[in-house]
Amino acid sequence: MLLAGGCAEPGAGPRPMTVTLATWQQAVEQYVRDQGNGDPNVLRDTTLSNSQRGFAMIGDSDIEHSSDATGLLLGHRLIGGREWFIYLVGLIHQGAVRDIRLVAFCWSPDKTLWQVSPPNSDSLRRYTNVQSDNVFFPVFPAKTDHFELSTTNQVAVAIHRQSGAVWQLEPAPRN
Amino acid sequence: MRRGTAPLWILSLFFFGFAAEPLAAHETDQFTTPIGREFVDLGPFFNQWAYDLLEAGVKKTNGQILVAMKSGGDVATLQRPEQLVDNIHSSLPWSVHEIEAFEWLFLSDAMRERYPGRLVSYRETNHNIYENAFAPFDYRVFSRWFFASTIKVYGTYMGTDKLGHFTDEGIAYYWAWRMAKKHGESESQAVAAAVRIGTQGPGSEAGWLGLAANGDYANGDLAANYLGFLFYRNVTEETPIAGVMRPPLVVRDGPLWKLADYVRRDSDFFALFISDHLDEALNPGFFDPSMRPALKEAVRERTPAILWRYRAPDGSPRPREYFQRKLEELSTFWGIDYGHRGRPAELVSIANSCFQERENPAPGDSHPNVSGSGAHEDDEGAPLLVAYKLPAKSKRTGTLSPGAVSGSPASDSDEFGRTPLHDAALAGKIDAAAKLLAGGADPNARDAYQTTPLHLACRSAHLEMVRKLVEAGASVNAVNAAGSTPLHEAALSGDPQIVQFLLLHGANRLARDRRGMTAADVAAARHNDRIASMLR
Repeated sequence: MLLAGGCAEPGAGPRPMTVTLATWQQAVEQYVRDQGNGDPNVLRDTTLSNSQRGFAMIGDSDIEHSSDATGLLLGHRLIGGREWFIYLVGLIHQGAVRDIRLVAFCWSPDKTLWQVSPPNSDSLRRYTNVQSDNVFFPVFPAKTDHFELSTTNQVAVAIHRQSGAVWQLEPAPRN
Repeated sequence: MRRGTAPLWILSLFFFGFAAEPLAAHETDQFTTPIGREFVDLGPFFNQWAYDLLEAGVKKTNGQILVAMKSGGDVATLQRPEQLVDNIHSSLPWSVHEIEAFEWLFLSDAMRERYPGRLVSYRETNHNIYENAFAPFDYRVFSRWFFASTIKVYGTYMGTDKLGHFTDEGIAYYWAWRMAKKHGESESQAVAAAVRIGTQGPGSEAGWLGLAANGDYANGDLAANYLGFLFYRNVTEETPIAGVMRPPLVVRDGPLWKLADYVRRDSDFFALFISDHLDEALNPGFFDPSMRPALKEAVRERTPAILWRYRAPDGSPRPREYFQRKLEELSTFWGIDYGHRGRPAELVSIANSCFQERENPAPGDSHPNVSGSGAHEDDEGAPLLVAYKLPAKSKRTGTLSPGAVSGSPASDSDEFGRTPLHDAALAGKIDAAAKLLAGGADPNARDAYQTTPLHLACRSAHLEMVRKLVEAGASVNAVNAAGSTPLHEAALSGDPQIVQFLLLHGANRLARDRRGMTAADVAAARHNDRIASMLR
């Protein structure tokens, strides 16, 4: 029927889904497979909406009904003999930053490795207290955010310069 | 069925069967987009679409000319510009089907996965600005069922319906213009004759494509018609577009035609045909007066999202004067009358809906005075940002700091192992690449995962860059850590010319990546049968 073709309703935007840290990790792996043909450096070339390097997933087009995960790519470092992509991932629920974790991703042709920092409510509070000079609503990361990444042979540390919030991770823990 | 109602039913069936589909996807709403969500810029996608369209028309026309040359046919007729333009247009589906195809593509998983964290398209079918615009039993309410998504193309927000106007109304303008010229009318008279197609008569914005169908004489649609006309005209002749004299898109090649050198899949030649004129929030339609109060209220309610969408580069909301100037600027196409209707006071605009009312606005006296506390008497001219539930904060005053990851020094690789030549290759910056190569940059430089600049040029489908790198000595069979060759990358991005070029330069079509896939397998997995068959 002619009308059926015209009335077809593909939908309004992204299909609603619940974005968690785990789904964000799966999406990163799939992106490397599908868009980079297995080359993880394709992650260097993805940007967030504010042009910073990173990888984001949105659960719904409506922020007020959405859970999102936004990963800011802080760097690519050799830690414990492996190359790691280091992200600071903000988990955003209904427009508010609910959690921030330091996440490291290591790719090899045979398997991928992930390391995630533990919850850090103190740093989350420090960050959200100073972050939010945005005219419309708080976002993560803000364009004005300045994060510093430092690494040793075992540890990665990210510091938010404005608030002093710190996240730490051991991609290559000592045994 | 009661006696006497049959004609009504027949009329209704006629409407739904024949009249309704042309209306399909002919309504759009750039006032309603979600706050805090960025769109993917589909400019490069549409540049490739336009390239493929031109290429198909040139191939078809050249084929016809060659057949005529062999068989003694009427070659001269086939060589006429009109023939080429007609062949370009005839390779397109009917505009409504074209729009629907784009709608489905933009909502596909493949597009979502390609652009994580961004909207590819957006439409709000139920709660759009037309929700309360029609009186009960107003037949025009049906237009709300046929809705076109908002997309972003070369920085402009526009409805997918504009593509249909561009291709199908644009060709009607072109033929009217040619006919007028043929009858000896001046250039301005011929352009006016073309524009009348869209502004007068039952099939115009004043009739069933606008006011009569949905109460909207859409200035954005008329701009799309006009830009489509310029596109077809520019196929074979130099054409003034947006203040620029643009050389022809297609040029003669002996008895045949060929694409001009600047027309490439990666050259953004199509950007000149996209303009804010297509954005129905910045260039609103002339609505039926009965609809305006409800529409104005609907736009007012959306103030936070609208001012966020059209915010200044520093993140602050733009003042009313910016939107007033836009209205004025977009009422003509660089001084040419494209059929725009409506004085600023008659239009439902951002300028007169999203700011406090005042009697005598003076230019430059209403800088945004953003506050979360609500509107006050002394806030005249200030944006209405109070409706949004998320906490509004004070005006952004911070300076913009660079991103967390800074660019690499000109002469060294960055922490990802990428060199400046990798960056130039990925971005298709030919001049920068030429300078780097001339300065001794290694065309076979490897990043941390053994990927070369040629891999990246193929991945981002920059044909000229591929040529440049291969000429400079880049290996067409370089293998990165994933086992991919440049041919695998070209199969992934799907540019047939790059695939052909690599094969001609010795690329190994049998090479397998770490997953055991050949380039043909990669193309097949992307459902790109054309590339897959080239590689088998």
